[in-house]
Amino acid sequence: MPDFLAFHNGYLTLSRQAEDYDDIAQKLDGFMDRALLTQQGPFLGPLDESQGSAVRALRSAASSSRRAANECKRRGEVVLDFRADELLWERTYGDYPTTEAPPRPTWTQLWSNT
Amino acid sequence: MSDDTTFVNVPDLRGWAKTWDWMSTHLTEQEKVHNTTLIGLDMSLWDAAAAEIDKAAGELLRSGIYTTFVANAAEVADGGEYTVDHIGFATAIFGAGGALSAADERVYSNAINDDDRDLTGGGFGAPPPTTFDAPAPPRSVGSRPDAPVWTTAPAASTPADRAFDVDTADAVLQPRVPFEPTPADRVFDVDTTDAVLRPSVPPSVTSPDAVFEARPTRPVYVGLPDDTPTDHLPPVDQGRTFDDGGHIVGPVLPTLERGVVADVPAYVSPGDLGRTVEVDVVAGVVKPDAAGGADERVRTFDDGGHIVGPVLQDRPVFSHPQVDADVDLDAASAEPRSAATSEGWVNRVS
Repeated sequence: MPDFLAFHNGYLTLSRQAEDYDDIAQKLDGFMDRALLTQQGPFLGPLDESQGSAVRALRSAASSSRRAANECKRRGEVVLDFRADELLWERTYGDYPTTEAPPRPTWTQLWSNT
Repeated sequence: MSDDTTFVNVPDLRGWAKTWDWMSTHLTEQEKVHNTTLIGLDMSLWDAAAAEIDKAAGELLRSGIYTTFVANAAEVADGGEYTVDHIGFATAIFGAGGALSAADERVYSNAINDDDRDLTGGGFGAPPPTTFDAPAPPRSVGSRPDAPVWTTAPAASTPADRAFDVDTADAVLQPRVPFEPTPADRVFDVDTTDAVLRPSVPPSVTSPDAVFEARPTRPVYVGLPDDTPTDHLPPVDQGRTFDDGGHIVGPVLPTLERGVVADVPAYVSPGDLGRTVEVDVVAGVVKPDAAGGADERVRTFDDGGHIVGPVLQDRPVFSHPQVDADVDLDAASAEPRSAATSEGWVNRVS
């Protein structure tokens, strides 16, 4: 199972990529603004359309990456909490008779814990 | 000037085309990193961004191809009026019929960055040659007019780490205000250092402690019921309970944390009584630095930054469930564990 640090690194990677995509989209806006100011001709129409499509794709990619990053963060917290519960159970009830100890914490998430 | 007037700055167009091609390559690399990250985390289903990244990369390359095509045509005209089938070329490049194979992409990428181009070769971007001995190949309406006739052999591969001279004067930036409409008539400050995108450096965590230290904390007063300000605070949870899934619910370690008044569940020890400590609100434990002193012996972290404990090594052990009763915590804590025999599982305070 990916541990907390793996999820945390995933969160950082995906968040940074989302920022990167937004940065590129911003730059493309600047390029096209400059093109419309300094160039003239019918070729600007198709170019504007292409750049607009790229910007939309980048912003969508940034949004999707952020959603994945947030899921990484959430899973990391779940893993950390579960590990803390397990350790605490071990420390507190590890030497209890089985019949007297409460149930051991169990993994209830639908995603992998193996 | 009318809409039919064409004015192009060839160096501008070539600089933009190179930058867009660089961005396209960069995005292709980022797509790989994105997919690898998700696979490593068993989260491949969260790959919605991958298709969009690929689309943006392709679109940027097409912008570069198209702009280079226009620049080549203008350069061949050498100041005179040039004839370019914008619509036909744009349809071929941007339309459904203009989908580029990986080999095509390499060819066009090389062409965009070829400063020694042969504009009279009848190839990419140049108008059909008129001075050649051989007649120009016929062009059919609606087909890709010039691009497919590119005569330069494709490179074996396109190195991922190739570097370009970016026309920084044209790398126009705008303030970092996401999704804000951009007026066409504004003036930009050009930050040439940002004209080139930063390399993708995999993030790293320097130490597990750094991760832990970044977690949110909250000051929590820990004390006995009599000296604890209880107004407007939730009642003390006396027992350690578990939900149906076997997860620990609420504050734990019955009796030992009796008197803890906090709006977050926290694992505390008698050593914390009467103090205000910083509690990691996510992990539900007192932070090591805040605990300080003797408590450090029972509240440790393993190499992975996970919480080990808190465990009171010398504390008496109580059976579960714990009854609600007054207890001399100081005396109980001072009792060596060796005094608790196997029969000592009996609740000491009942």
